[in-house]
Order: sequence, then structure tokens, then C-alpha cells
Amino acid sequence: MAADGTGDKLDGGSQAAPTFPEVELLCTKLFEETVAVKDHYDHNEALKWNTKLVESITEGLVAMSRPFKYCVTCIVMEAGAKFGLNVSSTCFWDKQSDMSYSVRCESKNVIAVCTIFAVNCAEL
Amino acid sequence: MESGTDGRVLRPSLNEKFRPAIGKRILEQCASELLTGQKYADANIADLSKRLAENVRKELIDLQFPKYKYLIEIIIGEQRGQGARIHTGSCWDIDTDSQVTHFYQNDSLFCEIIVFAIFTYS
Repeated sequence: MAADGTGDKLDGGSQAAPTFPEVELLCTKLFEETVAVKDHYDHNEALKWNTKLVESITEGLVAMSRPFKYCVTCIVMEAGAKFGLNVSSTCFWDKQSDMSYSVRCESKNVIAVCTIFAVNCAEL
Repeated sequence: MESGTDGRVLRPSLNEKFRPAIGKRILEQCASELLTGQKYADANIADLSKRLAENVRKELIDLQFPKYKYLIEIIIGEQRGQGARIHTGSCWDIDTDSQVTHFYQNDSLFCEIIVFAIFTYS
């Protein structure tokens, strides 16, 4: 995605970062479609589910037509067993223009945690 | 550096580009330093993961690559025999941006460190 001043292809969308409700809606919807419909956690299949989930979230974000670069991470794991998980993140960025989002989606057998970073690449 | 006509920098020069090999070394060092011998315990895990993230961030900033932003994510889980998959994807400029990951585990916990290095044009 080249950020040059001429022939900008990103018209039609706003210039601000996506809002948290927009991103949360996108992630939960894609989680329902991709992962929640599965009966149980299968470690081999989970690789495919996760790849599909990450790709569809990224496509959904790009479709919002904002001048941002996105980094999406998803963790898909089996639910039900009692174990601990901690996800933390820190950034070195421009805190006025860049945003991060963390969405947790659960179904009966699978849990997913999606972390999204949106880094501004608009021209000043 | 390659520049656009309005003076903005579009590409870093070769020695100013963040290379994953350098990042990998930093992640391995920070992980083994902070996590060796640690056990997963609810009380200390939040603090541990925060300290690890901040150590990694400090080391990356010390590399002093100009115009790079860093996004660091730490995932620490308990080793209980459960299955988990971690996957990342991005929409960025492949000439300038990159990612480094490192996986560490011991008997009690596993830890994945993911770093994204993003170049800013202005």
C-alpha cells in the first residue's frame, strides 16, 4: 500500500482509525462464521481455521478504506480445560494516530483472542 | 534513502532497514533472561509479561533505526497439555516492514513473542 501524494486510491473512507465497536463487530462476526460453528477443537484443523480467520479479519479491515497498515494476531485454543493465558502488548509508535484493539471471542469449545494494531500511514 | 518528490522518505537505505535476524537475537536473549526457571502463577504472570514486553521494547529502541515503529505482543500460557494455535497476518509494505517471532517454553509455561517493525514515511 504506497502512500504517495498523487492518485490516492483510498478515497471513500474516513481518515481516522477504525473505532473499537467496528473492529469488535468484525472479529466476532468472522469468529462465528469461521470457528464457532465447529463441534470441537481439533489441533490440525485449528491451523486452517486460524489462517482463514486472520486473513478474513485483515480483508475486512482493508475494506474499511482507511490510510492504515494493519497487523493482526489471533490465538485459537481449546476451551473447557482449566489453564491460564496472558496476552500483553506494548508499542513504540505515535499514540495520537495509531490504535490497538484486543477482542476475545468464545464459543462452547473454542476460544479466540484477536489482537489488531492499526498504524497510520496517511500523508501529513 | 529513496525519497518522493515532496521530500518524504519512501524507503530506508540498506543499513537503516530493520532486519529480522537482528530482532530474533534480541528476542531470544530477552526471553531466556527473564523466563528461565519461571513458573506460571496467576499472581506474577501479568507483571512478568509486562516486564518482558518493556525489556524487548527498550532493546529495539536502542537499535536506533530511524523512522521505525515497533509493535510488541507477548503471549504467555500455562503448559497443561491443551492445544493452541497462534497466527499472524498483516497488510503493509513488504519492502520496508517486517515481523520477528520467538517461541520459548519450559515445563511450566510457554511464551510467544511477536514483534512487528513498521516504517513511517513522513
